[in-house]
Amino acid sequence: MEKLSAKWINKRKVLLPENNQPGKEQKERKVEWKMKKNKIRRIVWSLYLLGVLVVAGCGGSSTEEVSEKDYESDDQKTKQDQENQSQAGYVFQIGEIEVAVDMDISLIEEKLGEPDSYFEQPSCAAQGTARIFTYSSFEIDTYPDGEKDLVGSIILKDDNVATAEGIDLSMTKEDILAVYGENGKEEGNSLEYEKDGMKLCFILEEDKIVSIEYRSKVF
Amino acid sequence: MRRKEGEPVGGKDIIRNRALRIVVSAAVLLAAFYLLQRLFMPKYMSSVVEGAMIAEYYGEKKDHDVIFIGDCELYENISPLVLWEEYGINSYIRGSAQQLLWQSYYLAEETFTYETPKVLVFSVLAMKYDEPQKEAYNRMTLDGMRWSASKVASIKASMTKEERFVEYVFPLLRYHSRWSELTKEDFQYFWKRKKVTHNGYYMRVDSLPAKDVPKGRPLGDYEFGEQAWMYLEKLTDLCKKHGVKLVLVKAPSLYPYWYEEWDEQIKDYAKEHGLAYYNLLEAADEIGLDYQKDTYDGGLHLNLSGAEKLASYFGNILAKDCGLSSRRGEEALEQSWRKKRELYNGEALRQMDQQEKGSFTGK
Repeated sequence: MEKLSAKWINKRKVLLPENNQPGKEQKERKVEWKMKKNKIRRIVWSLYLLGVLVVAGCGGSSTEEVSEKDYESDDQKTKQDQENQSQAGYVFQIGEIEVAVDMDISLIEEKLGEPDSYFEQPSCAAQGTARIFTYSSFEIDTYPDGEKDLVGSIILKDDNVATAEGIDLSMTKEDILAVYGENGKEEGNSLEYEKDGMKLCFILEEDKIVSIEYRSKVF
Repeated sequence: MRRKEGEPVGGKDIIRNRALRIVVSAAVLLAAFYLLQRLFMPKYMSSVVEGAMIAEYYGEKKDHDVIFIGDCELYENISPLVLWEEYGINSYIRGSAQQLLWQSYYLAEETFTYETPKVLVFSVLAMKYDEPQKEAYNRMTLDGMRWSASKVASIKASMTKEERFVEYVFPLLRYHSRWSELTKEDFQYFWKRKKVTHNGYYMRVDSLPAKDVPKGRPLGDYEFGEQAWMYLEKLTDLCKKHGVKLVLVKAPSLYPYWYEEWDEQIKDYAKEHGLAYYNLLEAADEIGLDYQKDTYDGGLHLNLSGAEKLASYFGNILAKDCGLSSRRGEEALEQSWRKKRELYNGEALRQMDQQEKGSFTGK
């Protein structure tokens, strides 16, 4: 016990002057020491809180990360989900091949064969490259999604091709309404239907169809 | 007054010491936060340099005759050095990737707090967007802006549904996840960043001929959106208020497709408001553009040779139609442009050299 007491006093001596006398002044020193301890504690806590603040959000990010590197994001997950269930919505059928928006173009690129023309649109600031595959009667546009190129839209250009429900460019608004019903959304010259996150849009000129477009909901 | 040795600690001293310690602790906390934020924010130096463009303007002497404001159709397509060399026009491009109209408006508003140019040139392709598009592009325009009422308003107008204002105020909250991806660049450019443009112009010397450029697909509605019209109106009023001549341009980029219907709307607006509008796409032959040689990405943007041709052509419009007189001979400007010319030529030679060696990556 005596030994411990001496150790305790020696420890304090580091903080107190040599000639320090126990009593009132020692109490002041104790107060100062306590305040110093508090200060250290506050700094440690502040740094700890800062660390918590920085780390806390690590899992909570919901938008696409903005940096030189591509990031996996919730957006991408949503698109992936859409891709998985893409066959449920409106699908364009060319022979045996089914083309749906938000599907990975690499799955059908070979089957579709060589396009009549091909165009790449690299986005500004390296945000990926949009690709346009033009075939004689239709066009497929893709958008970048991480490492993949997903189908953004399919455009029917002439009446050699038709929607799976049988509408082609030789028809009229009346034919569309008969097949797809009255619940389409009319905006400007377009009539748009939505099913399972996929859009089918008819562009009209005086009730005649001039373009048919399958569109991803991403746009 | 300092307390003497042995003198008792007074109540005031204790309060003062406590206050001091609180202030010091807060300062340490803020400094740590600031340093971490600075470290984690993307530097946009070796790739995606477009993100570093907006901030570069603040280091300039703000005495420009012409400010170009808009997207890649400006910052990749016109060379301010040629405008200076051939016409004595001192210009700067406040451009950023996919700059939306409201961002252009607030950048113009902010620019006018620093200087009043004689002419403001605006790229009308931005009219096609009527709502916020993508956070990545927002960040490239907004993070580089200095804090001001214009920046706050621009953030509010630009945010997508998923974005939060607080993450613009404290970007650390957005970029914290970069901790595991920090590179040498993040430390190298921690305090000071290198210049990535030449008075806002982003240089590319390589060439990729335009081929199979798609035509525009039919649209359901060719009318520009309400938001776009509102900000164009605001930009027009802002320029009028500051006595700045607003010039609208459509750059000679072949894609994205510029519809005839869009062109008509801009023509009508310009006529109605007494503004000049130049569709430079229609003037491609007159400019002397060869899309087999003067573009680096198949007709989307011009390369150095194309940008210099366009500057040479457009400088004549600025001089004649906008009445800008040459400032060649002003010693301070001559000196400044001499240095800029060295950097410009140096960068062109560097890119050409890399191209010859086959190591050119486009940056």
